[in-house]
Amino acid sequence: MDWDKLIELPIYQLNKADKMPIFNEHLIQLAQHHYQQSENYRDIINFLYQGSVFENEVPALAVRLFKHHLLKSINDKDIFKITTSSGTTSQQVSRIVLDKENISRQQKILVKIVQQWLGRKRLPMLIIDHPNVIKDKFSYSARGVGIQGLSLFGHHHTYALNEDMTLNMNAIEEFFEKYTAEPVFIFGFTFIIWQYFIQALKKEKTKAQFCLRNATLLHSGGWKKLQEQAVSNQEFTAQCQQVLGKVNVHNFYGMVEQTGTIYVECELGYLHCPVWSDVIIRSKKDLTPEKNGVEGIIQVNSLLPTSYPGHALLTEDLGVLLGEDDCACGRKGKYFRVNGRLAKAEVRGCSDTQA
Amino acid sequence: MILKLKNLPIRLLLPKNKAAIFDDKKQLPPFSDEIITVLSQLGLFLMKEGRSEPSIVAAGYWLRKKLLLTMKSQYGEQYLSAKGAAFHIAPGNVDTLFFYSMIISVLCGNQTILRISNKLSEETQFFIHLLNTFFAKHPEFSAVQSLMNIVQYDHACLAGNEITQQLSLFADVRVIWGGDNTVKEISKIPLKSTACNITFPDRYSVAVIQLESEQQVEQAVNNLLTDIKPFYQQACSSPKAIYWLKTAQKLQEKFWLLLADKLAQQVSLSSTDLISRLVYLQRLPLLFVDGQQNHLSVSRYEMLQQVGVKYLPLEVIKAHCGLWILLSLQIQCLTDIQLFEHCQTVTVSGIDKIVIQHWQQSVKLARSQTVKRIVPAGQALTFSHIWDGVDLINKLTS
Repeated sequence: MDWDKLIELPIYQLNKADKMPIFNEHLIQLAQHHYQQSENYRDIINFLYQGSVFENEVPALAVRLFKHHLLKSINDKDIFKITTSSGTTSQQVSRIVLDKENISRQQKILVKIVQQWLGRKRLPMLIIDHPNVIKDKFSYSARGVGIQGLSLFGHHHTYALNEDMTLNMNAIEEFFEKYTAEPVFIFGFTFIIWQYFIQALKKEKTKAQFCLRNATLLHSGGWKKLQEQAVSNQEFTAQCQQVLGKVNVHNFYGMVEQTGTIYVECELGYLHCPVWSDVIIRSKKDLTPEKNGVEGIIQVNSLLPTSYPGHALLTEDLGVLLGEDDCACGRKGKYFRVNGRLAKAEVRGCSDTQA
Repeated sequence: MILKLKNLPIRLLLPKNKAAIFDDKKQLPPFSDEIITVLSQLGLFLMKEGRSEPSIVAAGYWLRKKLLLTMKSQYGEQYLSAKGAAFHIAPGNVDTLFFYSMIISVLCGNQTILRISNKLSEETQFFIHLLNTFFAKHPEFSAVQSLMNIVQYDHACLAGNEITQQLSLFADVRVIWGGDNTVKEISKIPLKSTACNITFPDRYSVAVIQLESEQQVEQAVNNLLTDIKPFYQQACSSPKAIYWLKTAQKLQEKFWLLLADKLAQQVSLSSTDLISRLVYLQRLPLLFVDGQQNHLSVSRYEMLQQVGVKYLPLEVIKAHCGLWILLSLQIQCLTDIQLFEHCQTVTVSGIDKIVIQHWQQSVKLARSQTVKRIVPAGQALTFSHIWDGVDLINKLTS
């Protein structure tokens, strides 16, 4: 695969007719690479998808597979890092095998995408988390990976929280006083921003309001806990603006299993597919491709992963494909909405008394 | 001793709207006439009022007087007395097993407290509603009723743990269903020094089928369906694998087609289940050790997923998710069946009785393997007071 060329593709400008031939050709190449390099991947394909292999469609692996097995397409000696999912909602975590090349490519692609929303200049950055979340060097958690990855876009990194998740008011006030007038970048996980930052600031008596004039807030990490509190995306954005001042709020969707290709929400509230990835919504009844506008299970395809067979993954998230090439924001490519996670597998056997 | 669980978040489902106060002095002699009369009446009531739910009818049928008296006669020679208080932790969602666990304990005369899952199926809610209705109609049965208590609480929180601790210290015997994890977790919670645990760890079951003619196919399919259709094939006694004993390929194919057809008509899966099934299928080749995965083959029908395997490693069966995946193996004689300690039930279909007896003997002699239960196909889920090799009556009395 010719990454020197691929990386130069315009991120949101190609329409379907221009994108898909390039994308599909490379996805099939990538699938063949994994078939050759990963014994486990080869076994799965030989067992379940023989015959139709890679001709029209690249089969998707269930993302949960990475919680049970360490799948790799490189030699052990080339493993540079194994990233893990945060594991807050389930005990088992995904483990993703990365070599130097993949880490570097993930970073480069992430830079390309985020620059579309933040601009090319590094900005003073406020991280809504505590500094110890990125401590462990070999095994990052998803939270650590996210913060580490997005730190590239900032300077004067300031952590807004103490280790016990309370507000570090000195740090926050100092940051806002210093940078009130200029563009700043704020990043954190959706629930942490809501609970430990916005709600906590509202409770602070002294200075509950700030008057930022030009801030961009990116957030990610799932709506489950906010849905429980009946907080909508609109409500989230409104409260951020009420507490912080003038701030563009963008949610994004992504996962540790495909770090790099994130899906950022446009001004109209739709998540956009970058040129290096593709989204397919699958029927909740039989996993066949679903029509636009109908909720189904999200499959994400990405051209990035070469060190592990994560190029086509069936997630456990529900979403709706809204259209392709015709979003009113002007960006090309598919755009969609994420509705939440699939219900947790119910244990019905005699083998569990939990619940 | 009287246990009052005041100010703790516990709900009593049976008897409804009462306070959670238990008294271990409330016990009756095992198999007393009073118990047998009340339970057989309850059985008739369940068969009539619960007729919309096959599992409730089956439970009612199980309480027929004749069966209760047969059980009594098996144990009647011995002098038995109740243990006292019995604390049962029912399995997550094998909806009706809670009932059998409780009934056996009540038959033994124990003050029984049964904890059931916080998430109840409509069927189970209806079942408990019927129990309440029955005893409301018959105040004269209050002595037996007072032995039957069904409670519900959130076991994961601190207060829930406190409840489990208090019930455990109150109990003379504790019955833990629910597999390895639950057994491990609950066993950490101390009992009285004189009390004992009865535990049911993870188990799996298999079927052995021999077909000699086309006429046998439909009956064999129906029997297997009875064993695997309920509980999404996730009950530990539902077969996960089929051993074909000297059966022609053509007959096997006919069997699979008919089974696939019937399953597709009768069951459906949620998207969560579809994903769980895909996860297991994709994991399958990775669960075999080097080389063995090359012998795998798969036939995917609308609902049924049939996987041909040559060997059956324990990991493969342990990871099995139910959801109508059947592993299929070919054998030439019963001794080819590789049994693990974890094997609970073997259902048999079309095999000569003498051959089975002979096999059972040889398995016993070999001692390395155990078959805890052999039943005719179609009866995998029928409850027995000897379960998983444990004589419940024996253990619940002294």
